[in-house]
Order: sequence, then C-alpha cells, then structure tokens
Amino acid sequence: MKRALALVVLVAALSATAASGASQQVRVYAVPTTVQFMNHADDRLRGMSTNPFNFKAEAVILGAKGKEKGNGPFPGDDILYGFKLFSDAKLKKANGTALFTCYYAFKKLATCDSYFDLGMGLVLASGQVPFGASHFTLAVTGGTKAYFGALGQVDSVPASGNAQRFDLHMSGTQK
Amino acid sequence: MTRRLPVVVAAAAVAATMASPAAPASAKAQSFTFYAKATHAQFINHADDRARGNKANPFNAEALATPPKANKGKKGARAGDNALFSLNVYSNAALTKLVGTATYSCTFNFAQEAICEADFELNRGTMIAMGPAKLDGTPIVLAVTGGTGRYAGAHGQVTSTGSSTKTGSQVLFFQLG
Repeated sequence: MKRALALVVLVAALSATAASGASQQVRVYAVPTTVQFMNHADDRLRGMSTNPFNFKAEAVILGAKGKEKGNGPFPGDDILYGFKLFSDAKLKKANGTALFTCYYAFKKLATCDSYFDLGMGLVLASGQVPFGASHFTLAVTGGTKAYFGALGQVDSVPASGNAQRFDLHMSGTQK
Repeated sequence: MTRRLPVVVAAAAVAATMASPAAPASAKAQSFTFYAKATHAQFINHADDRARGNKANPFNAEALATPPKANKGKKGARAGDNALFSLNVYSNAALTKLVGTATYSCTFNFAQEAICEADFELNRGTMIAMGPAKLDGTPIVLAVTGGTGRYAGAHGQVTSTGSSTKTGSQVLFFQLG
C-alpha cells in the first residue's frame, strides 16, 4: 500500500513538473562564418511593371527615375548569416551553430528568422532587426528535442571582437 | 526542382520518436501521424541576385566574403535559392483519405542546408512549423510554432520521414505539448 501511494505521489510530482515546463537560460557567443547578401534589384524593377496589385509605378519606385539610390538594403533584399557558436567569451569552446535569414521590408528593417543548433536540439527565434543594429531582441517561437516547446526571447548584444552575444531565455522546455 | 522530400524508411521515424522527449503533460498534449505526398515543386534560382549582391551590398567592409566551398556541391541549391513544395495530406498510409494540404517554403543557406517554413492546412485547422532541412533524404524535424482552429496555440515538433510503404510519400509525426 505504501509503495502504491509513493508511486502515485511520484507520478503526480512528475506530471506537475512536466506541466509547468522548465526554464532555461543559455548564453552563447557567435562569430559570423559565412554571409550572403541577395540583391533583388532586377526583381524589384520587374515588379514595378508586372505585379498583381495594380500599383501605380510612382508609388513603388524607390529612387529618382526608377533607379535605386545607394546599395540598400531595399525591400525584397535578403541576407543569410551563418554563425559558429561558443559557450565562452574567449571563443574557445565551440557548442553549436546558428543561421539567420533576414528579409528586408521598408525603412531598412528586416524580419529575421533564426535557428540555433545547440547540439541537444534546435531553438527557433524570429523578429525584426534594423539594418546595422547590434542590439536587438527576437522572440523564441519553438524548439525541438531538448528544447521542445520552447518559448521566450533572445537578447543580442555586441561582444568582444566581431562576436555577438546571444542570451536565450526560454520557458516551457523539457529539460 | 524535381527533388522530392526526404525518403527514408519508416523505422527511422520510430527511432526518432523514441529518441525524442515525450510531449509535456497538458490538456493539449497529443501526438498523431499524417501521411503526405508531394504534388508540386518549384525551384527558384537566384544566381543573378547572388552575383549582384556580392558586388552591390550595404555592408561594405563589414561583409564577409562567401567562403569558396560554401556554394559547392550539387547543381542548384546555392545560398539564397528557394524551393517550394506542395503536398496532399492524408490520414492513412494508403493515401486514400485526404485531410488537407501542406506547403514547404525553403530558403537555402550554406552547405546545401535550407531553412523551411511549413504550413499545414488541415480540415480542423492549420499549423505552422519552421526549422532547418537538408533536403537530402534525412529526416526533417521542424518546430511547430502555432496553429488555428483545433490546433490553436499548438507547440511542439513535427518529424517528416519517407514512408517505406508508399514510394515518394512522407510520414508526418506530430508531437504537440
């Protein structure tokens, strides 16, 4: 009887733990390893004359006489960043990779989707990042395996050298 | 692009299931399986945008040169290219009971890997999932980030593997917490 009661208590405790979900804080330092900028100037120009929205050309032309001023980023451009992740500020202990895909809209503001591959699982985060910003915050939208069901946010600040520090604040994970 | 979604044996799905943690205990915790078969595929080659972006970009000295090996490999599937897949979704392995459709929108990054957003339009609601995919036949594990209708607030993961019972079809194993 005592054994059965103990088992019930244990099961109840485990259920409560699982229902509440664990919180995790992960700090990583990221060094960019690869980058690819995609300049969609020709697609923009084509989109001004051929589009399904019946836009007036002058409403969507970005620069004088249909030419873009400067190098953007302009709406429709995107950039891909690959990062190597480290667990220490000295960038000695590698612990994963990250990939950012950022799609620019207007006013040089990009919507970025990212994933952090931390070995035990993935953490996904998305949000807006102004062009050139080193301080930004992304929303954690999910995760897999050890980060199953993760929610929270990622705070990004510059670190030493060309590194970027990411603080992942997560709740609802299985760990 | 005629490349189909990954094809591996169903045993891999079972192994992945066993390796994955159980869904958290909550009122909505559930797991279920759907089956899918690709109906359309479109590969979008952005070679011109890539070449232009290497010369005209706003990052100047900050920009890193793309490593020479980053875009080597199979034909196509270079950084920035897109692949779109449309699938019919069924509730049974025989693919006779249609319950919805799915769309995978993938943007390739480096080393032949892509980040994919999957939209599942099902009879009782929708789900959205996102994550990396090799698109080389290995299982794809995406994080489920939300949904509507019956799947409102859905969170968890979906594992897509090839089916051993129907060539070219996929087994979609959802684990929601």
